[in-house]
Formats: sequence, C-alpha cells, structure tokens
Amino acid sequence: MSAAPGIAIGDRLARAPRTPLESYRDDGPLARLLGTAVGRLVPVPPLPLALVGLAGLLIAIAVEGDGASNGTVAAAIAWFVLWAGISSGRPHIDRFAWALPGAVRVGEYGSLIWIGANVGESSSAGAFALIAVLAFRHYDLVYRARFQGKPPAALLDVVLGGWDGRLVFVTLLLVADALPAALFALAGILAVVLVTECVASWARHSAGPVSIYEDEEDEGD
Amino acid sequence: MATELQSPPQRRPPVQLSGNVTTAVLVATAAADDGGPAAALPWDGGTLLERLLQQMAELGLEDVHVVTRPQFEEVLRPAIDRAGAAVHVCAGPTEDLAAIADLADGTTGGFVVALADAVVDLGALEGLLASPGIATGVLGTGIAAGGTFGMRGRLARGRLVSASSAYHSVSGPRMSFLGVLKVAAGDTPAFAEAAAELRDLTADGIPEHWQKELQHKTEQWRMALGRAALKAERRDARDALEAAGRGRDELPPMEPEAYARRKRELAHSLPPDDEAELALRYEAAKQDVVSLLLVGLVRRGVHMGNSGIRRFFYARPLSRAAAAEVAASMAEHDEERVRLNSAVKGTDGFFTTFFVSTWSRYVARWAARIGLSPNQVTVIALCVGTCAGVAFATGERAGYIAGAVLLYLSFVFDCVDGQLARYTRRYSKFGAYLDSVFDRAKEYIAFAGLGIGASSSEVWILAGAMLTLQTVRHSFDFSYGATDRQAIAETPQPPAAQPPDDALGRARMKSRDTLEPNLGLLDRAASAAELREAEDDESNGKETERAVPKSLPRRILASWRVLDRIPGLIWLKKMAAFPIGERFAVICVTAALFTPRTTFIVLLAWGGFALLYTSTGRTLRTLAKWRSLPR
Repeated sequence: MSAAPGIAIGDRLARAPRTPLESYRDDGPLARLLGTAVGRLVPVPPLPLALVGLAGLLIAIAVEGDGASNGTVAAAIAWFVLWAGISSGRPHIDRFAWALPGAVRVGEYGSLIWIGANVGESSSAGAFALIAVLAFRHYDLVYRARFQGKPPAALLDVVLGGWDGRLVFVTLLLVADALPAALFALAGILAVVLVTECVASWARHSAGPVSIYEDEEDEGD
Repeated sequence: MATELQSPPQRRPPVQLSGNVTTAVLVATAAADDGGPAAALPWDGGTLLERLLQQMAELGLEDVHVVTRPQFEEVLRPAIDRAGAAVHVCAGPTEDLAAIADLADGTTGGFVVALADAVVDLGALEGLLASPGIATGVLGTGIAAGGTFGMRGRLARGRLVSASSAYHSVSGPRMSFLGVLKVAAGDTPAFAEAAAELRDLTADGIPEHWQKELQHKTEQWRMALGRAALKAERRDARDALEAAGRGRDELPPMEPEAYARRKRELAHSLPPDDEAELALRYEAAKQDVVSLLLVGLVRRGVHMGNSGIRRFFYARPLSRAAAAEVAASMAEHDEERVRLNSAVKGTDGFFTTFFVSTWSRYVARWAARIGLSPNQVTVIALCVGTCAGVAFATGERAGYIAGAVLLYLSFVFDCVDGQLARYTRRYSKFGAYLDSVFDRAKEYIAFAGLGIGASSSEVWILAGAMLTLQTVRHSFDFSYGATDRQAIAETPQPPAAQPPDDALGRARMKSRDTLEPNLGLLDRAASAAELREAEDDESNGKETERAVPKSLPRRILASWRVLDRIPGLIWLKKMAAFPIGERFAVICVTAALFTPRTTFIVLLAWGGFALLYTSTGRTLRTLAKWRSLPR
C-alpha cells in the first residue's frame, strides 16, 4: 500500500468537521475510520446507510426487549456502529442529510437505554445519567458554535470517543459485568471533562465580533 | 399597577451597540410638500432631523454625517452644526453614493444609515443596533404595516434575501423595509464596494430599464390608491344601505372585470391629496439611496438580519399636515409601555403567552429596577428548577406538588431573563448560551427528579426515552435549520445592475414589455384575488404572487398555511409542536396530580406526535424544494 491513503485517513481522524451537520453527528475516530475506509466505496447517500444500521438495532430491541443476551446486544450495537459509521464518510449534502445527526442520536441513546434495561434496576438510572451528560455534549456542540462562533475543541472528538467509541466501550463494560457502577462512573468522568472544557473555553473567549443569529424557530416550525 | 404603568420613563444608561457601529449617516434628501426638506418638518418644537440627531446622541454615536441637497443646506445647517455633525452637500443620488463610499472607505467601524425624515422610537433603533443577534441588518415590519409606499423585502429564515429600491423589485415580498440600515464593522468593506458600485451604475444617469421599474412601481402605488378608493366607495355604499335600514351584505359583489375597471377608473382620477402624495413619494423614492444601498448589500450576498419594529412607532411624513397627524398619534403612544410589551417574544407558544408572559414582563421590569442582570435571573431560574427536581425526588405527594409549583416558577424566571435582556438591551453571547443550556438542564433535572421519586426501572426507561425524544427533536430542528441556512447562503444573487431579483422576475419584466396580450390574463387573476381581499377587507397592497406550477408537496404546504387564517387554529398548530411552555405545563400538572409514570407517558405521547408532525412538515418542505447542496 502506498502512503497516500494512510495520510488521508490520518487527516480525516484529526481534522475538525467542516459542516454543522458533520459536527452535530459527534463522530469519533472509529466512525471516521469506517467512513473513510468503506464510506467512499458505497455510492449511496448517508441517510439510507444510517437507517439500515438503526433499523437492525431497533428490531433487535423490539424483539428481545429487556431479556437480550450480551451477545445479542453486542451484535446489534456492532451492526449499528458499522452502518452509521460508514454513513459518516458520505457527503452530507443530499436533501435529507438533516435527519442524520438525529438518527445517530436515536441509535446511541436507544442502545444505552437498552443496555441499562437489560442489566436491571439501577442500571436504568445509570443509563439515564449517562445520556443526560451526553445530551449536554450534543447541545453544547450546537450552542457553542452559535454563540461563540466556533464548535468545542476538536480534541474532544477523540477524548470522548464519539458516539461510536462510547457505544463500543459501554458494550465492553457490559460484557465485563461492570454495570451499573461503571455507567455512573463514566457519566461522572464525562461530565467533569465536558464542563471543564466548556468553562475554560468561555474563560478564554473574548467578546469579539462574532456574527450570530437568534434562531427563533428552534422549537419547530 | 395602573398608576405604575404610566410612570415616566427612567433615564437609561446608553446601550452597548453591537457590530462595532461607530458612524451614522442620515440621508436628508427627500422634499416635503412645501419644497423644503422633509427632514425640516416641524416636530415637538424642533424638526424631524433634530429628533433623529438627538436619538443618535442617546445611542452614543458621535461620528454623525448628514447627506443633503444644495437647496436644503441653509435650512438644515444650524441643527447639524448644533449637533456637531458633518454635512455633505450633494447634487444628486450619485454624489450621495460617492460621499458614502468615501466615508466607508476611510472607516473601520460599522455604520447606521437612516432616512433623516423618519419618525421612529428609540427602542426600535436599539432593537436593531444593540442586538448581538443582528450583525448587519435592517429595521423591518410586516408588509401591511409598511404602508402603500414602503420598500419591500423577502426574508428566508430571518435573513433578508431580496430587497427593493426605486429601481429594484422583489418577487414574493414578505416584509417592509423601514429606512434604517445597520452595517457591522466586518461588512464595512462590502458596504463601501456596494456604494461605489451603485455610484458607477448611476454615474451616467439612471439606466433606462431602471426607469421602467420605477414607472411600474409608481403605477402599482397608483393602483393601490385606486383600490383603497374603491374599498372606501363600497364601504360608503354599505353604510348607505345600513342607513336605509337594510343589511350591509346586500351590496352585490362585483365581477372581477367590473372591479378591475372601476379600480383603474378611480386610480386615474385620484383626489388631489392622493395625487400630491403620489408625486411626493415618487420624488422621494428617486432620492432614497438608503434602500439602494440595501439592495447593493443584499445583491453582494452580505448576511442581512431583520429587526422587527414589533409594537414600536414608525412613520415617514412628507408634508406638514402628515407630520402633524403623526405627532398627534405619537402623543397617544407610550413608548415605555411599548418597550416593556415588546420585550415579550412574538413567537412564544400558547402556554407561555397566556400563562407566563401575562405577568412575567412585570417581574422583568421589577428585576430591572432592582438592578438584576439577565444572567443572574438565568442562574436563579436554574436554582429554582433544581429545587423542583429535589422536591420531585422525595417521591411524596407534597413533594410532587411543591416541585410542580417550583418548576412553574423556574419557567417564569426563564422567560424573565430573555425579557429582561430585551427590555434593558443588556444582551451577551455568554448570557444567551447560558440561557439555552440551562433551559435544557432544568427540563432534564425535572426528569431526573421524577425518576428518583418513582425509583422504578420502568420510569427510568421512560425518562430516558423522553430525554432521547426531546434531544432528537431538537437535533432535527438544529440540523434542518443549518441545512436551510446553508442553502440560502449558497443561492446566488443577481447583480445590482439588474432590477428584478431573480430569473422569474426577469421573465415577468420581459412579458411586461413585449407580451401585451398576457397582461390581460394576469390582470384578471390579480383582480380576482383583489376581489376576494376587498370582500374580506384585509388586503394591503400585496404584489402579485409568483405563478409557479405547484407540485403535490407544495400544494399540501400551501393549503396547510391557509389554515392559519382560521382564528385560534394558529395556537393549536403551535401546541401540536409541543413547545417548551407546554412541556413544562404537562410536567407540572401531571406531576402534581398523578404519578411520574403518567407524566412520562403524556410527555412521550404528545412529544411523539409533535416529532411526527414537525418531521412530516419538514419532509414535505424538503421534497418541495428538491435541493442538493453544492459540495
């Protein structure tokens, strides 16, 4: 293999997302790798790819409910990460690309709730804690770009693992029988990292001439 | 309360202008009926120009320039000198543009450009100049409120994508431009280029195709006056019927042809007052470089925001009589009251409008008096919201009830912070960020409190599902908005040399010149539309809609919009989207009366419906636009 694809993949992993939609997806290194390696080989818009992954996951959740085996959970999540990861490499320029970040969120949060339900009682609370922290991350991605003029640090994409990395990690914790304690611990660690970075960014931020727009239609139109 | 409402306005500290605006240009080139400058029309012991100069001083603008004509200089000079402003005496619009281009070339700060004969509340100017949400933008209002002679524009997602001048037209106009333009420092180079371009375009006189557009515009104004006269005539006929003891509705509706014929007759035999006004407006339009500059900016692709005048006052009198009339209606207008009322967002939902904003504005004023900052109120709101979560977490009935009350209060504070920021014009980006994040936090803290209170696995799953639903819902909102804005930004603008704003407009322009027979058809359609409007008595100089063949999604969307005309239905449509006020109301009511499980089931049902409802609308709109963003 020549060096060129390696450099391209390296670039892809390191660089900040270019468009708002790419940023809102919150892809991690794994999804970007899948997108770069496989995404360019499938000449399909990204939404169908992500929906294939999401459909598989949701069917598994509907069929198995809260009695799924760890193997089933791992397989369903792997299926979703694979397809939604590939979709990250397709250009988000078609007319339904706006549905992608939301579709990825359904898969990510849905998986975590499912894992919590499978383990039992306080794991559901742990899953809620984790997705509440992740919700902060995902609103922060939007609001920081809007009010500060730039998205959160690109390094966070790697440190937080992206939706893909976190799903794989929590699945490993499930297999390692570390839940529910690990869910609360992970939520706590992520909260500290997120809030620290956010406060630091506002402390650094000077009130420069950033042009923003008040979007009054955020609550739907 | 009643006496308090009439209390005299307090002195306010000068507001912080956004966009680094440092220079004001007042354009005093329009003539009044007496042949003098309209800017010198008498106002409250002084003149219109003096009023505006005073307002510029109150806004903290020190570098003020007045552009005027040689014949007006003598009258205006004393007031200009007193205010310490610079004067630019220019022979015509081309020279105006040259002077403004030179000013912009030599400045790094931002600009405000305004017609010097406009009567506008300071609050409205602050709304445009102090809001960080608007970098470069205009003061605007609805199409009807802009009046017959107003210059029009079209907005897309709050962005001005087309504007008109004496020589430029707008297809599908949706707003009126009120003669005040703000240019943020970052756009000053584009502003200088736009002024220079327009200067060059008009250097050898107004091009012939531009003249044609002005003639067309004047003819439209004449027809609007004719239509108003016809409406008055029919109203008189109905009054006469009523006076004769018969029903007002016994007046037979007119056939479209007869309606159009009568309107044209009246339009070409206007009373002298109307003719004089038409002549004044025609001349004023030719001198109006403010809207010309606006077109120049829009056509250069500059991002132009729109600050709605809301309930503030605006008028542009061009005669002594009109100025006196404006002064009379202004005397009944309480700017302080309007300032408070206009601090309430116009886009709020049903619950917020009728159960929160009705009194939160007084809390906002109280907060302003005791000197609370919007950010402090935001933090208070989060603290109260956290207390609500803690109360829910007790799992006791008393806790649920206390939590419901606290959550309602925290939502009120949440509305207060924004209203306080708008009322006192103390905006900050960090404040806006904090407000947005804490809004979400309060809602999710309430979920967590209810989850702890119920302490059952099932409720945690329901809480997680609702959190997911709401986050996904917002994700669609953000992403759809981002895609839409990007598509708008990438739509190419025609050059300023071209009067119509798009290819369709060009074709229409051509048909006006060459395809005479087609005019009859267009006119027939227009008169049918006018007839409908005249009969339900709410028309206001709408220009003909673009006749695009409609696809199925477009037709569905159009008929869906028509439903807005049914009173009350607009509120139902807002409620269907499950806005924040309704969500908080559901949490409060169901938590106080039932169990957390019920709360989440109601939230999920309503929220699920709302997600389906808004996504269907967006899918239809996406299909209707059929767009693909260029990479």
